[in-house]
Amino acid sequence: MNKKLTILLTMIAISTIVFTSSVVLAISGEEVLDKVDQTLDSKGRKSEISMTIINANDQKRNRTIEIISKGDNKGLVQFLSPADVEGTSFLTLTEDGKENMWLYLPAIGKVRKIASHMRNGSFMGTDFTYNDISMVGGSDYRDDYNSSLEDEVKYNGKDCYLLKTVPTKEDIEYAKMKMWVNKENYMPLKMEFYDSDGKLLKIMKNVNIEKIDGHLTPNKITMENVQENTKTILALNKVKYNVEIPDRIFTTRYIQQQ
Amino acid sequence: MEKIYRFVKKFSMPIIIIVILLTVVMGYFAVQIDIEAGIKDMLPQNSPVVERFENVSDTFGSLTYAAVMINDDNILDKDTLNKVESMSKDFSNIKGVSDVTSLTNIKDIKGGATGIKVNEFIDEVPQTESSIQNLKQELSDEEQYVGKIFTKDFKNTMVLVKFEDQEEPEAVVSDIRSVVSRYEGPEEIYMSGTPVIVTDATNYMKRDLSRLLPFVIIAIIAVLYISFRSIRGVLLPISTVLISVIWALGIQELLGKPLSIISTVLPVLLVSVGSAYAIHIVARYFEEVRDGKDKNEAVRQSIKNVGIAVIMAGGTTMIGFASLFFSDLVIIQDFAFGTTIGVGIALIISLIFIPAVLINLKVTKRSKNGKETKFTKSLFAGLEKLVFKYRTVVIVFIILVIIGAIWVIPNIKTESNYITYFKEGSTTRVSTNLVDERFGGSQPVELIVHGNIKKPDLLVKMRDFQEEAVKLPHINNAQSMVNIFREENMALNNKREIPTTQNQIAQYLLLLEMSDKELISNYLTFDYNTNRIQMTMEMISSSKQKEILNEVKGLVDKHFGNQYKVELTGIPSLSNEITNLIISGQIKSLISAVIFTFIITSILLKSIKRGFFTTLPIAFTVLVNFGLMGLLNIKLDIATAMIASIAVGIGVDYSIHIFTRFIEEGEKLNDSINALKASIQTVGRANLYNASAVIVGFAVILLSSFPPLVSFGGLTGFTMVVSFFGALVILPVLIFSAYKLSSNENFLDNNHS
Repeated sequence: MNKKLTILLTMIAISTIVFTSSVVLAISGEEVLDKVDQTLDSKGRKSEISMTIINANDQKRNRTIEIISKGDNKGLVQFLSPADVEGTSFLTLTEDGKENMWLYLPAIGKVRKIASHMRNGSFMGTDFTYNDISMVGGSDYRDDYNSSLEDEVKYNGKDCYLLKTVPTKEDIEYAKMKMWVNKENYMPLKMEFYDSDGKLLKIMKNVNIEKIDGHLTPNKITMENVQENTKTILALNKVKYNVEIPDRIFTTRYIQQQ
Repeated sequence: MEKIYRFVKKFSMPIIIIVILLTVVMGYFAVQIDIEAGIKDMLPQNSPVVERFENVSDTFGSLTYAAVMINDDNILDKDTLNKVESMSKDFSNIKGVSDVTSLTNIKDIKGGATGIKVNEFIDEVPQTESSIQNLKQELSDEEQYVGKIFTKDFKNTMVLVKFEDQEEPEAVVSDIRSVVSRYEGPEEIYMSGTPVIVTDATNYMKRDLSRLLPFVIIAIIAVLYISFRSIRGVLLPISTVLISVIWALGIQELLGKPLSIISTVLPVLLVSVGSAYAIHIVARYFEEVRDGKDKNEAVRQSIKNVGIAVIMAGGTTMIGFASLFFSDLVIIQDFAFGTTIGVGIALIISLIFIPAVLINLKVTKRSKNGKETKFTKSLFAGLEKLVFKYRTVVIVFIILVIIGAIWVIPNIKTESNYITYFKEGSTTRVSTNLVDERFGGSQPVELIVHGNIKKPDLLVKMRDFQEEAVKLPHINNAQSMVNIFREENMALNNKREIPTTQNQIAQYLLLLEMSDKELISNYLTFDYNTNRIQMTMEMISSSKQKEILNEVKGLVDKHFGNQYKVELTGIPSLSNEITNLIISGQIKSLISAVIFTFIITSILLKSIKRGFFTTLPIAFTVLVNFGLMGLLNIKLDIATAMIASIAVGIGVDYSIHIFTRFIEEGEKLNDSINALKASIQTVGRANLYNASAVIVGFAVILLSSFPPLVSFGGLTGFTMVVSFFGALVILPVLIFSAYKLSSNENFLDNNHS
């Protein structure tokens, strides 16, 4: 495995989903990852996101979620609206390299553990899968992907590395991914996901990137399923970095008491 | 008429050459003509029933599917499951198939302490006996699939093959069938479902008609030969009808109109009907030749004397067919188009092409010797006796028949369900009965409920409706979000109940969206505002179907009332609409056929009274036709619905010929009784040849193995017999009685109004 690129990718993936980014040099990938880990470990992050899910007939569903994360092993997603799903929580914890996901639906009661094979399923009805989104909890891609530098290209007028990554874990259903990474700041601008037949399945774009609290943050992320003609837009309403978050928030007990 | 003669005389060779050339060109197109069999295509596109059906297809996917049932001692054994799996794969690779549902890809909502998941029941085909037993146990708990995808005893399983909407079902069905034939044995495989049945019906029609057409032609040749005892007496009428068939099919193809299930009878019909005009021209020609005229004069006299009657006869036949345009059913309109054009062509060919050929032929010895058989002699003697001696008996008989017919007509039942067309014991019927018996039917009945699913009262109403609906006879397998929620609750809380609060429903939905988007989209739109309740109906007769649809509507009113807008659609609703349109179309086209015939004959015979008399025997024929249908329990369906109009169009010809000849003879003889007698003797013979050709043509269709064709051929043939006797007995009796005819007097002098 090309460790350098794997680390780079890990960083990129994390920055993509967690809206956290660090400008690093590609030369020492491990250093970069450590740095990212340190940042995530030491300080928590809170954000509020408007989710718009658009189907093939251009009909829309709107939901608002709050994402709280701490380090690379704790993440919590909570629904703020619509009212009838408010309080629905999704918890990710990684222990000893093993990732566990729990779901709590207040009207149904009981915390449910998400079966691991469902990670390729849709996250809350969006075009993101659990795998796509599980970075929220800070799980790392270190062992999950092989990647290689394919080319150096221009994307949207910016010099980019074009990466090709291939999953090594069986439970990730993509055959491969392509990633356009800004050379200047290592921010991924576009990702393409290919299905098990090798056909283009989804395109993800990070739009309106700005620096917030010293972190490069896309204000909008779009994920388009080109096969089913559906789209999910995540718009960042609020984000706060370096927040002090107590560990007790990341427990099944806490989410049930909410 | 003189003009036509002069035109033909002047251009006889060019006419022959042009007709032959055109026939070759049209033949090239005619052989390419296609046959279409869609049930939806029968109904007008702007019909609200079709619109509703299409709306549902647009929202939730096609409602057209084939049901493939597999029978085995144990469907869960390795071999059968493997077969189901690879068969399903093969089906989904067929062009025009949108979706395949089978035991190997149905979804299961699983839950319990560890969480909830939706996955395929059978990830891997079980290899050991114990894993088969486990699977059996699991499947037995799935109320939504028992009786829909597999039977409780695990001896039958169903593969549902959904069609894309725009595809022609026929090609898809034939692809499915070839896949099935590859997998057959030791398991038995049965195919049913509306597209399968419709395609089978079309294939039967196609096969029988192409097999029978040569026999129809041979039979007509025989009739013509017996009638005329002359080669040209056979060849000219036969070539006329063949030319018109080729042209009619060629024009249809050029206009991009494929043949429908009913217009497949077009060639047979044209062969029988189209010969009439040629027969009358040729018969008159022989008559003139017998009287010693040379060929030009014989042709001239034929056109002059018979031409007007032939035009009238052809015109009324065209009106009879054209009146079918008044039907709201698209396939009957297409049929009207094809036949009207075909008859028009036959008429023109008879008036122009036949004389052109005759002018170029020498008068042969044979054409001078028309032979009289013993049968025709005694037949006409008998007819004369009936008219002149037993008039009262005839009138009493007619009145009795009319009363009898009116008595039984209300018994006629309308049928638009194709399955009734198949004989008991035919593969199609057996398969359909099995599918109905084991899986509760293959016809989708769809209820679209407009209302937000998150409202708990709506969900309760849907549940209550479903529970009552499946208790109705022939309605089964009600499925909606109700069932999915219940399965979900079962997985979560071990309770097979629906969620009861808005928050619960919303979160159940959220959980499902996370697990499997498709599972929901079959029953609920993206905006949560449109719900689908899917049911199946067994293949039953139209009247029964109507009854049950009404009961479903009653339940809809009971449960949803005015609170929620609910639409009912599905294949039974379509065929119910077809049934309704058959009746309304029948009435409209029949009335217009009779009225137009009356108007035309009145104009051409220059008298309303004469028009009325000419029309009366045919009205009688129509009455007898329906009477016979009521008596023999022949169903009014898309094929038999056309008979009355056909009978009017063709049958009135005999009366027209008699009446015009009666006027012609009356002018010559100045003696009405003898004029009537002469008409019966002369044109009556041409009528006999003509009627025999038509009747024999339709009688051949009786040999078909396909019941609707048999009743169509039989009934049409029968109405021809009735209208023949109507013209030769009823019409003369009417004339005789109404004008109080006596010898040495010409009724024309007194009654020329």
